[in-house]
Amino acid sequence: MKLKTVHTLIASSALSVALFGFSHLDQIAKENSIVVGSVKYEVDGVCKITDSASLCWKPNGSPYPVLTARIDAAVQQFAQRPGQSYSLTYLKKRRILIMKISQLSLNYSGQGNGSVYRTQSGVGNVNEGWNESNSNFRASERGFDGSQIDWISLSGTFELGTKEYPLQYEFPSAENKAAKGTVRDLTPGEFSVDGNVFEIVSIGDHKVNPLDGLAINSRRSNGDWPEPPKVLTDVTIRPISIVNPYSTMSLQLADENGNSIQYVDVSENSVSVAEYQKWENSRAGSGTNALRPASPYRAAGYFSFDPKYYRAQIPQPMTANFTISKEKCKRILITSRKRDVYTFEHIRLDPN
Amino acid sequence: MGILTAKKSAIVLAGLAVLPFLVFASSMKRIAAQIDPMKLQTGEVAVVGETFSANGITAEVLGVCSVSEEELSCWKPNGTRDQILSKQVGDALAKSSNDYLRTFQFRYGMKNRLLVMKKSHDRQTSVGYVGPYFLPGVSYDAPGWKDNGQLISQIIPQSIDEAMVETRFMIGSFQKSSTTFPFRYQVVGPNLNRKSIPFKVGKFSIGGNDYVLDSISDSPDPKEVGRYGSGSGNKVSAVYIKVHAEKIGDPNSILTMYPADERGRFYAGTNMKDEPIFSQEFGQLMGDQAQKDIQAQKDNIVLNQKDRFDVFAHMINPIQFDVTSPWEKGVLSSRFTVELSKVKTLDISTQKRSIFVFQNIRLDPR
Repeated sequence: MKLKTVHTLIASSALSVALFGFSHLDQIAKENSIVVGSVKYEVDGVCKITDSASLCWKPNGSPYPVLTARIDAAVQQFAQRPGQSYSLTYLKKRRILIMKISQLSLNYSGQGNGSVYRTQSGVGNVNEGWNESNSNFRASERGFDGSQIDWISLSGTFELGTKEYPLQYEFPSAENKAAKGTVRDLTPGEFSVDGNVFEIVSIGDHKVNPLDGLAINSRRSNGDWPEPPKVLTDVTIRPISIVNPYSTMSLQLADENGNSIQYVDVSENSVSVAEYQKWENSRAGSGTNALRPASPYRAAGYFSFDPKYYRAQIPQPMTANFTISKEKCKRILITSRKRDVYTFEHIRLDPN
Repeated sequence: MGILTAKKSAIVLAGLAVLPFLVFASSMKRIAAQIDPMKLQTGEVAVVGETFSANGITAEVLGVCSVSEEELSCWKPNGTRDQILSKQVGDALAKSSNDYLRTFQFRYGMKNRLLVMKKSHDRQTSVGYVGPYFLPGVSYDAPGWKDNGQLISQIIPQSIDEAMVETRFMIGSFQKSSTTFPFRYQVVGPNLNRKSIPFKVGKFSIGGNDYVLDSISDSPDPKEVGRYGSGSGNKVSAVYIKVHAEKIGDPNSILTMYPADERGRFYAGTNMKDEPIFSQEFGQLMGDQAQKDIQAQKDNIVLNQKDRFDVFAHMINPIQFDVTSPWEKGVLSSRFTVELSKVKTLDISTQKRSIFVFQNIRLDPR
């Protein structure tokens, strides 16, 4: 009971932080640039494309004729391609953000590819913010000395009244490499991961939704699925408190020794990833779906929870589906992946 | 000598195989060569005013709009500015709960416009496809009006005798120098000329066109797999056929084919044993299944997946052949999901496509 009260307190303070727009955990990019390992990332400029012109400006809104000329040349070139089009949303600003990525040293060190950190799922309505879709402007420059600069583009849709909008960019944390995860019994109860607390509420037989049949019928008509999925066990997980928006929790079944079970055979025995991959590779050469034999293996199931998709409130309990019968689900491997988030502030959405 | 003869025979056979394609290609080429999208084509009907009615469909072009991220301005098809339409369209888009509904594709360096049209369907009349029409042989990328798929209003009829009215957007990209561009709209009528023919390789004629059923097989032609649609390789029994158009007398005649039994009764679906069944039985089966689902949900009963899989019937889709379709190029490979031995005849019919042309639609206000 006491524990729950503490959790509630943490949750309420967490939510003020973890409305996740910006939190004190973000690292602010000075002068719109950051250095991660040996790589420098900077917001080079923002562009707007209409049906008659392209216009780019620097993040502070000052004119950027060099970038305008480069983007305009690309747009004119793309216009020759069949079907090339751009999107316009009435009463919304659509912009393109150009990010410049420079290798500062010939000896690469970094944290892999970055990506836009979005704090919402983007399902349904178009949410304000930068994202990676519909962004196809890319350029590269290599020097004789091995130096390299890349430009990539992001796109964004914003309300007409929005004057500037920051970019949050994330990288997998360097700590992830050393992370091994923890193993526990798959029994009801609480567990915490990087400060976030969850509860396994129940472990039960899988309940088939009557409407699943429609999907099966559709597959049957359209072909190519030899067997319907065989989910056998449902595990219901309830997030209790989320204080760390930068940690993703994942959960896999594990054997007695804590080794994860990713694939199983028809008798529910664990199959190594290598063995599964070998089968898939042999099947890949079999031509069309008609000629492919049904796989003797199936994925054991996997659950992951990323707090960034739950902006405003702690979500309802969720169900993880596993293809092993309840009696055989004894242990689980819980792992976390952390992210470093950098915020590029004050990116102007219109030229001065 | 023998080898030479064999080679000659092979060449002759290859020539014969190619012949239908050449005949089709030449007739399509003739059609394409004559095409000037600005002019009325043979068989097309010019719309007088902004409205036409046919087969229970009434269509009206309300106007044309230009849109930017901040502004929307509309005018009547004759170029007269239309403040009311501008407000109606602007308000409808602004109120849209989903941004995707007010997102439009535009092309750089082109004149990009929206066409607003109203369509009503009296629901008493059965029709086939109704929508914009592209001239055969004209690239989809060429200037023209295309359905944007956006529905800004739809009034669902409360009773059978009320019309279903909807307002739709077409989107078009045109050369900057263009001042007008026609809007072609097609209404495909109900099935006509229904008849039964033996299910065997050979020639048949219907709706003014001559076709040849080239092949019948219970397995897909590996070279044609991509043309059977998704999941082409499933284990459901299927009949794979190839048809080509030999002589096109009426490019606006669309062929529909159903597999049928020896008495010419067409199959609507298959039951749980994969046996073909007729429309009445199929309708009954689908109704029963729907009831079972509803009841299971009400009772919160969990139906076993395997049982459900076994009881499901599935529909047999007819094969349609539009000889002007740029996808098929006069040759159709398709399939019926029914066992080959059960198909004794083909139930064939045609639908007549009428093309109405709204001419002189102005791309800019006066």
